Amino acid sequence: MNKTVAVNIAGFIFNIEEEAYSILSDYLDSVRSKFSDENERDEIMRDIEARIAELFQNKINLSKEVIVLSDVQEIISIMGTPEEYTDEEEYQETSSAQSSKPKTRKKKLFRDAENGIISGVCSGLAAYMGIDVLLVRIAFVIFGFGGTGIIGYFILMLIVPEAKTASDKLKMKGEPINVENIKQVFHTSKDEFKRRSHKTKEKARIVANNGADAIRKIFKVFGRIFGFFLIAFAVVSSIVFFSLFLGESGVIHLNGAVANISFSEFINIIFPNELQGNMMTIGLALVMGIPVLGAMFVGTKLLLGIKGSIKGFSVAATCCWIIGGILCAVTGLQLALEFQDEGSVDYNIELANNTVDTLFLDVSHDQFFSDNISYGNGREFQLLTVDDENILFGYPTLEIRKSVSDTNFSVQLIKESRGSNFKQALTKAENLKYDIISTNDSLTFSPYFTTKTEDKWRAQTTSIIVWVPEGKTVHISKGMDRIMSHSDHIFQSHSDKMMDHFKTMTKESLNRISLEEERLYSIISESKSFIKSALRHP
Amino acid sequence: MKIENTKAQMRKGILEYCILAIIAKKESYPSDIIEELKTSKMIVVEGTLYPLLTRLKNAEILSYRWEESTSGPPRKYYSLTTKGASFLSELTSTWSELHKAVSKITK
Repeated sequence: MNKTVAVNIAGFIFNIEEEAYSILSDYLDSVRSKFSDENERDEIMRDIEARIAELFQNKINLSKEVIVLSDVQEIISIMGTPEEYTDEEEYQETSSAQSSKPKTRKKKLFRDAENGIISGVCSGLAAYMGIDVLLVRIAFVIFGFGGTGIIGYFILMLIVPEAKTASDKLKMKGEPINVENIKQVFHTSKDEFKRRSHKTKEKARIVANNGADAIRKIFKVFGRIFGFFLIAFAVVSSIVFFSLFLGESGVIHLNGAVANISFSEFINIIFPNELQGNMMTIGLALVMGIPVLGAMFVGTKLLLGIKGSIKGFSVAATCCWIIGGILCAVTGLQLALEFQDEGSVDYNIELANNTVDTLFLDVSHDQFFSDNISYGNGREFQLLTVDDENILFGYPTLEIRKSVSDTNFSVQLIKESRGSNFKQALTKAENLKYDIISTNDSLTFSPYFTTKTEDKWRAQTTSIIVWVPEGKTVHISKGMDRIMSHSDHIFQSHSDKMMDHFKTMTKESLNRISLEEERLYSIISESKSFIKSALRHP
Repeated sequence: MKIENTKAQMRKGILEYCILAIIAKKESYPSDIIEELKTSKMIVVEGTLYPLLTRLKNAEILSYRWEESTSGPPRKYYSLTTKGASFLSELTSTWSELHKAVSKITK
């Protein structure tokens, strides 16, 4: 018993056995390909089909309703082989008609269930690649250590179709499909089947197939859920990336520093030239964007159950991702080299009058950074912002130290920068601008220092040391909390109470004055401010 | 293989002439033509015939009409056009010249 196909030849319907149909179809295709002139070709094919229909009609009668292989064979011998149809001009080439092209036909990858051990994966692969089955099996075992081979085998078993019909089997091996070969396949498959049905391997195979079907179903469900999450992840990531990279008011975190600038501004002030900046941007975009894109793509496929993929997409995407990674690495390395040397300059600030007994320290008001700071961060930090020409760095660090050599106050300003070589670092350090205003008994510090944007951000720092001789006093105003160093050795603890106080340098260190005096002074300063405000609002 | 080539070449040139001659006698359809050739020991498969007939038709040497058939699809009955008739007479004279020449050479 065999499967038949219903075929329309020249408007007449015939029932034809599946194998016979294959042969006939290939025959007509071969014949068609012999004609190069499109106009004539269709007409000729119509005539030929009409003739074939006529011939078939003669074969069908009450006791035979189906066209079989032998009928098709007969038709071909009557009509002639495709070679006999050749155009007049091509006649010279028909010398080596039969022998050539056994293997240049397109092969399709199938599972050779007949010859395989578990499900024919290795056999099918071997037939497709034209190498021995044993080699494929050995390769699988070698790569199978650690489970990857087993998973790979399993995946192949699920996605590669089994060669069921005779024409499938021929396609698998790349044999031309004609009557001879099909007959051969039929006979061998009959024998094989008889042999195998006695073996227990058959049973094992059935079990494996059932298992595979069940797992296939489970995969489908999980696939949808997973796909949904992938898409969600991709969407959220895209939103985050877009707002971060393209937004105007970004907040960038460096080690311990917070910057009040957008991503593109940041790139501009850190990279020495535009090319490097662009390369880093592209690299980052690729490294972060491609996984997101990939997640979106795979997620959609899984969720909607779409099969198939754009050819070479995953390869191209992986390549781009690697390129992005390389770009990031290269530019990152170049950038690191820009920071490799350190340079610093040291100034002594002239005081208007350094012989006073008490020096008042204050910070001028700052319109850039005061909103961003919160007292109590344990680490040193800098803030960053950019106006038209300058990079502004917030909050230099100030220390108060006991002076050992001098009987008068002195103030030291240290500017530091990094650079690609020592000379460059030094120049950049010198280019830092920082203002300290000195009047008779007070010093006003600027809350930020600047440098030109051409110098770029090179971890510039500014430090101030106020040297207080023994017995002299400093008054630290409230605003000074912004620039006081947090790792100061002199002060034992940091708190709000430290501000707005007088500190006298004693023999041992800068200590608090006695508690009573402290209370007295705080009462005095509080009443001062109370009276001031009372006078303002009567 | 080479001898087959040459034989086929010889037959090919003649075939067109023979077909036109058969059609000139009476209008025929491809099966008829094959039969006629067979009886005269000129063996040819149908596949060779169809392209040839179509080409001759497109060159306006042949024309055809449809005839319905009870046992299958309608058939094309071919006949010579006037152009075809003069074509045939030219071929006839060429043939007799060739025939004379070859007979003489191979004597």
